[in-house]
Parts: sequence; C-alpha cells; structure tokens
Amino acid sequence: MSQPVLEPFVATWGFHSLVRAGTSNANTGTSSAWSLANRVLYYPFYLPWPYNVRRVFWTNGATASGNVDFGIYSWEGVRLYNTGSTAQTGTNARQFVTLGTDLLLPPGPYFWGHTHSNTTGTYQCGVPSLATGQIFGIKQEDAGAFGLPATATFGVLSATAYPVCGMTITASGHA
Amino acid sequence: MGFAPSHNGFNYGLQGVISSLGPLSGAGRATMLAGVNYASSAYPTASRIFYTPLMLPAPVTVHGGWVYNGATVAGNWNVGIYEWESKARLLETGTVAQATINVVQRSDLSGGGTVDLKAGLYFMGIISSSATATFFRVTNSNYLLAGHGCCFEAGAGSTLPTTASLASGITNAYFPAFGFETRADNIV
Repeated sequence: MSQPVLEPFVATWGFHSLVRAGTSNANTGTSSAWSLANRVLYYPFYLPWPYNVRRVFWTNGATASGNVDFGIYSWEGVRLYNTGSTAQTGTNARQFVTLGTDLLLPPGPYFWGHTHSNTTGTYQCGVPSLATGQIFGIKQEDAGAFGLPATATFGVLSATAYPVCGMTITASGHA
Repeated sequence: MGFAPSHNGFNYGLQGVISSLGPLSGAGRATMLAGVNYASSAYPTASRIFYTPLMLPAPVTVHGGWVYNGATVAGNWNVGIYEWESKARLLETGTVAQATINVVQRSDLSGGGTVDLKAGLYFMGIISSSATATFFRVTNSNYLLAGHGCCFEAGAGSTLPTTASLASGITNAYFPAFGFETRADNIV
C-alpha cells in the first residue's frame, strides 16, 4: 500500500507554491535586492498533506545586509510563526532558522511572510513580469515598520523579484 | 476551511488565483509539459471561444475574473466557468472593454457577488470580440492542447453562451492566459 510522501523541502519556486502561471522562464538564479525597506511579501503555498516544519530558509544573493523576518501565515492572514529579526548572513547560499518547537501544519493553503529591513540585502530570485507575480497570487504589505505583523493585510503586489525560500522537515544539514 | 487532501497530491494552485495556464487546467498541464513561456500575441479569430478543462480538488469561492493583456488592446473580453456534464455556464464576468496594455486586467463577476464551486470538473472559457486584441498566450502544440481536453467554439461578439458546445478540438498553437480570483483581495 502506498502512502503520500511530501517533499522534504517546500519552496516558493516549487510544486506547492509559485507554480507556473504560463511561464517556464522563472529566472530563479537572479541576485536581486529587496524592493523596499520593510516591505512584506506574502507567497502562497498549498499543502496536500500535513507538514511538520522544523526549519525555514531563504536563499541569500550576492550581498548580505540588514535583517530578515520570515514566517508562516494562515490563509486568513493570522501569523502562525515568525523567525523574528534575523541578521542576513552568508552570500549565494541558503540561510536557515530552526523553529523552537516544530510546527505541524494541517493540509490547506497558507502564506509565507517575508520582510527585509533595507534595500541592500539581496536574494536569489525568480524575476518574471509583475503580472506573472500577481497571477501567482503573491500579496504585498507596506506597513512601514520592520517586522512581520501579527495579522497580514494582503495588498496588491508591485514588487517583481521573488526569492527562493520556504521550509523543511529536516532538522539540520542541506546548507 | 474544507480543503480536503487530494488523492493525487496535485492540488497545488488553490492559492487565490486560478489560471488557464496553471496546474488545475488542461491547458496548464499541457503548458507545463511543453515548458514554454508566454508572450503577447493577437487573438487568432474574433469571437472564438477557448475552453480548457478545470479540475478543482477542493471547493473555492470565485470573486472575479482576469485576463493578461498584451501589447495592443481592442474590443471586449469575457471569461466564465461551465459545469462539466451539462456544459451550463455557472458564472462569467460579462463583457469587459479591454483596457491597458501589458497588465493583468480584472473584473467583478456579472451581477456582482461571488459564486461557490464544489470540488470537481469544470470548463473555463474566454472570448474576445476582436482579432486585433492581444493577450499573453502560450504556443503549445495544438495537438498537445487538444490532448488535454482543450476545445474551441465559434461565438458571437463577446458573449459566452449559456450552454457550451465543445465540438472542436484546438486547431492552432495558441492558448491565452486568463482565470479567476478565489480570494476577496483582488490580484490587481
């Protein structure tokens, strides 16, 4: 008897998130600066099965600078977890944050929330057209202050670079 | 939320936006197989209706429809969703004047409000009244599109019929990007 096996890594540029909205040219190897200091981007993803989150990660670009806050939101916009302010360190590599306690997510739709404190820090991104990002269902919030809000306000997207980031069931390694 | 796990695990895409070129549509799966990119191109024949199967693994609420306009706008568009068996139209945006190049253009549903759809099979369709109008589209093989259940119908103006006729398989390598919003916050 077979049983479902979910990917050990679930990422923005993957089957459970920013799947192609008609474009195969994701250009996911582009080092791009964060578009606006303290801007929050919300990337949608869908879990077909329960998923036990042990770490979250993002992929830094050619320049590391400033601070990151990365988290997980319910489909309704309630923050379920966030790393808190984390200095961006390392270039052209994934940066992981281990959750204090594993987070078991039931099947369903969610958002990752992601913010950065300046426009110097970079990420390895997919850079399709703005329209493609909108069709992906990415949302945006420009609240002003740094940090992920307890409750998201999902606004219309204007940013055009979308980092490779996500979460994993692994507790270590893979960096 | 009522989102049941899918037996095949192929339910990604229920992320606020349904796209004709996304994984829930026949045209989308053909596109993923072909690995092609989309680009602006003129609608091949005025008032042709393009249909693709839509596979919803979980219930959704449809709030609006959208198209991705190309480099030239003209005429009117209309997008809608049809019931699989009866081919009855369940919702549409109604006639919308195509406006603003190279952006996603959205519209509320005809009559306002929202429409709840159960998990299951549907068709989604688009019509443009103008062959001058351009849309972002893929150029998959028509055989690949037809092989994924995509059809077309000769329509009139920008009217989506109350009952679809799926008589003809896709005969040209063109399928436009369009779709629907499944969240209350608009995509544009």
